[in-house]
Amino acid sequence: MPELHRSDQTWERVTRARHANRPRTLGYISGLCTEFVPLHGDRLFGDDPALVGGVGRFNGRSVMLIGNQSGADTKENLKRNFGMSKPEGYHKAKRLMLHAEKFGFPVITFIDTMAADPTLPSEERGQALAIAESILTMLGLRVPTISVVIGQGGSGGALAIGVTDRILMMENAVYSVAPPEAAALILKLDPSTKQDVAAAMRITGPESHIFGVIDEVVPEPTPAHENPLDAIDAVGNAIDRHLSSLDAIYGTGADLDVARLLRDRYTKYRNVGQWIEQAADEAKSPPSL
Amino acid sequence: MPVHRVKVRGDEGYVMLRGTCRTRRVMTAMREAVHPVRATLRIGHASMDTAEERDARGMEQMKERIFRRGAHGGHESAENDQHAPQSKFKPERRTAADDPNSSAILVPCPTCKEPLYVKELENNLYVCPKCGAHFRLNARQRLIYTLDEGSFTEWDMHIHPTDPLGFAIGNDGYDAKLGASQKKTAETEAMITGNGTINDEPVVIAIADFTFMGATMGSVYGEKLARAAERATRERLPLVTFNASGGARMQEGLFSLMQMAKTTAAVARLGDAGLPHIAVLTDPCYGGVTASYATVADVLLAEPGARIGFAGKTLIEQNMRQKLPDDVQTAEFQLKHGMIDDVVHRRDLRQMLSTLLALYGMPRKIASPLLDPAHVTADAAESVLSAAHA
Ligand SMILES: [Zn+2]
Repeated sequence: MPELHRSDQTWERVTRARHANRPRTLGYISGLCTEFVPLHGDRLFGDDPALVGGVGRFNGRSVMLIGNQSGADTKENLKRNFGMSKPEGYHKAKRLMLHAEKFGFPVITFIDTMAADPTLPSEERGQALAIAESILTMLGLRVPTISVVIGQGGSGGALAIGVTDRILMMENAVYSVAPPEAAALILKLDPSTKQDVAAAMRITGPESHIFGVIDEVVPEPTPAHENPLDAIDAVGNAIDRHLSSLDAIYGTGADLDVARLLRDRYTKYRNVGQWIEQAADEAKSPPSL
Repeated sequence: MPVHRVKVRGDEGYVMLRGTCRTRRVMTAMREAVHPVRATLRIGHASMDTAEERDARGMEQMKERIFRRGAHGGHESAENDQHAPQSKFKPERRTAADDPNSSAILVPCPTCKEPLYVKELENNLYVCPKCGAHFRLNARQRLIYTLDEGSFTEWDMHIHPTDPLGFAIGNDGYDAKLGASQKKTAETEAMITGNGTINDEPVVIAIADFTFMGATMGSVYGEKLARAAERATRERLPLVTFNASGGARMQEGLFSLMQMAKTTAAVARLGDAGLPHIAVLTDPCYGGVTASYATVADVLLAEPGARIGFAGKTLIEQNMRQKLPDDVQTAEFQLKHGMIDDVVHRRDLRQMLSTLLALYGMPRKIASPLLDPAHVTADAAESVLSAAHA
């Protein structure tokens, strides 16, 4: 039963992605930056502890770091709403990204959220619109951007900080349109099918290449929850490599070719998807990487 | 109720704008009347009352002029009777008659439960004449009720969905589901795009069809919408989208999620070119669609009672362990919370859209004479300006 085998493998990665000892955004930031100044608040309503950010120095260079933040224990998870952002979180992300653009800082985001916050107050404050605004902002940012899926990437809550020039994903991270449990619910399937749904949606790092938008899968020779420092190191190296590559292609500082950067970002997202054009009678595939 | 006198340029006569006018000549005159570029507009009834009263009256007059509220639901129904035979698709009914092959003569209103004649509903744009509930429309009905007769040209009909992940749970495969939906709806996917005119205003239109897999946004939905927005940008046309969606298409995994970025990118380019995107949110509109291209529209309208949100109500109730009131996530709720520009009755939508399209007029048109103080009274300018901001 190879199908069953695959769903077991997938679920193993889901379990790892959700592991309490897996490093989270603030762990990566403190491991990768020599200095870091957290910046709080959306200047509209409040400060969302589930979405953190600030300016830091990464490999000698000032960058804007933004990420979803859940807790290591129940107490911190309650404070941080299990890493599920409220509208003020997306508004904060947008503010920090525009702030980065103003000073020419590259934007690095860490994706680690199951989904957006399913509560009435978040609906009242327009979380859908907040996510849309953040996506729109990212598409137009005049600085290079990189996102790393470090744990669970789920739904619009993840994409809100994930529309970047490069998307990296850890081997034991998962990235999907909805968490498997929610997907099973939406598809009106029995909750026990969540593992099959997870496998069917191809949510793991190693499978992510089929979507044509993930630029690199960062290997975890030992799972990150067992060896956090190595994982943080590996992610740092990957970010450094992609930042250098973006520099080489688009230039830096006053020489940054903004038009080309925005054009290529547009193309990256414009091309995603698979469909059939009946006239040609052949499937159009996304560009292979 | 004051009588509005409208002087149409190049025409010596006055037309009374009141009640339901059905002749082509009068309608043309009225269209001119609400078109600030083509018409010089004078509103009578000058008097010496407070600014507030004047504002309120100006607004009322504007609404009257724009919407021509008639006792029988406006002229659209009459017009659309002529359109109806064009469509080979049976209208969708959100009730016991949900079966498209149903030949039921009477259907109960989903809100007030009153039995309604299908024929009467069709003449009333599928709005319950008893309680005003707006029935869901499929995309073809929406086209008929929105565009000028015979003006629609459909685009990208050759783009069909595929099953990129080979998605199947047990014997339940995506491929089969697509086939069944295509058979049921006679559509290839949940998104229809093309161009046409609304009261002679040229427009690119994109309509989501909720009857096709809940108008979930997959690759084809995103691709057709992106192509429509790009073509609108190239041809310098405004974009009107009618949105309804259950959210993302789970069976396409990350492809589906990324359509949010793709569609937002495409409408952003339209905006960069100075062209407007007007989005109408219809029942129900959730998830990835509300959290992407639809809500970054320049003007955001909704039909009365439409359910609009990100997370579904049931999920929120489960998560919060409490029952939510009925009026949560309605169009009116979103208006109250500042999320949309206005709630517009279906009978007024066509006129509202063409008025907006004229106001955000394309550069080919000359500057509005209304803004020239020599041509306009303060009342008229105010009411036009308030309408622009309504
Ligand atoms: Zn009713």
